[in-house]
Amino acid sequence: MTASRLPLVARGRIVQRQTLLDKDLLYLFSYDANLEMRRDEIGFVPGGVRVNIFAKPRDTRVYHVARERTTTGSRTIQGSVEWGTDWALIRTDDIGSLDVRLTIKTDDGATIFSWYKGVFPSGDRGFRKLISEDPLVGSEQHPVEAPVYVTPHYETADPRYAWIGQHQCVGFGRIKIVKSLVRSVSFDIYAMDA
Amino acid sequence: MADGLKEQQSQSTSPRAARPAPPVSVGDYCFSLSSDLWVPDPSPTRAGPFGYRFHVLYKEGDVTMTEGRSVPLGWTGLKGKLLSGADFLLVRSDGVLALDGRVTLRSDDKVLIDALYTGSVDLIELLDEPYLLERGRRLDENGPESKSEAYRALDADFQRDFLRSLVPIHEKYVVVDSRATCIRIPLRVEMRFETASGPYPDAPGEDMSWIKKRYLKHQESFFKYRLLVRRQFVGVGHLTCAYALGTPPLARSIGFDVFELGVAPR
Repeated sequence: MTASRLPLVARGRIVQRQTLLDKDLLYLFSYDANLEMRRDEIGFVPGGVRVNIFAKPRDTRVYHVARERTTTGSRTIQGSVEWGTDWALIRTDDIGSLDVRLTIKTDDGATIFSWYKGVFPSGDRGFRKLISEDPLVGSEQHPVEAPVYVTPHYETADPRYAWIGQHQCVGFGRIKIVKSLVRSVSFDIYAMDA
Repeated sequence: MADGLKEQQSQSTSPRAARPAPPVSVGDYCFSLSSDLWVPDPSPTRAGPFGYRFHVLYKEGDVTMTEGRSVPLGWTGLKGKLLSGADFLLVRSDGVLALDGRVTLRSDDKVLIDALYTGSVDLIELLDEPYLLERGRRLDENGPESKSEAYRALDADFQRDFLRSLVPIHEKYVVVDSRATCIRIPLRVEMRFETASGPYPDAPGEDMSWIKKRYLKHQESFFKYRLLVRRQFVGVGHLTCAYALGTPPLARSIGFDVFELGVAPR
């Protein structure tokens, strides 16, 4: 809790703010990650099932989508995901836990490293559904989609993109599940911008 | 490599230490890892004030076991393949190489094991004598109150020069293989493991036929590797980097011997 969010004390009684702090989300970019069919399913570990998932190298575009609120000037990122891995845990309490590291190569040659954690609520009895043999969740014709939320941070040595390191970002995404496997994941990334 | 590490910490002679020091035993050998490395982008990523990051990916490697060495009680051994992995190396601004890696192993009996490791290496120790002499000379020229400042400046020099590969490396760390001149950096890392460690724990006695067969299959061999998820391990080995004037050192291969870190019973 920041100092300005602490309850104020006036004349001996606590006065709470009636308005929210200023906040804003600045859209940065989107990506739709195609995932390798091969994955390392470690299996049952304390807390759930560990699965390592890999993005297909250089097969995922990072792009800017025209939105109502977009970044201005040169503050956009376009390129591709060089490589990325998610050391995911499908938890027994029906929450998926993400632990991702990935590198973005921009079209103009900069390398941007990102790491983040996130969650995807797999819904009622989601754990049992995802690790069940029968029936499998989702099909090629009717994939199941689920929301996913991440909090990335970015690092780069390139001065043209140094600005991105100054933001804590959030990502809103959808994962697509086919035959109980996460087949692809799409994210819109925003910078928290006061 | 690192054989004979087993040691018993000697009893302290300090008058404050009336009780004997904890008898730490580092030495029960478990297995060895080795792999060639692949660097997707040789140019480092600036990690803010912390230094520079190099991302290193593992190629397929080997998990082997040298026969005839002392192993932990109950350890049945591990041989197989190293499937994949990554190390998020950070060359810190104070001249320390921080390792932060994850690799996935597959045993010959098809069990998948995740290994997580972290460690630190003092890169300044790799430098050749003239550089160290220069460091000493510059420190002598400064009063005690400015030594910290001088060290900071030297660390900054080191960081800049090491990344350009312009600093002299002591010959004992330089190796020449068939392809190039390399630096062989000694590593010490702490290691932890994750593997399917037992039957589905939330439903004892429950019919488990609903679980994917491959998950149940993973659990069949858990007794062989349960020690890995219940103990603390250390890795002792080398990181080999290509070393050429004017380019950043480029990680080429890595190898560890893995030991259980144990405490002997009193």
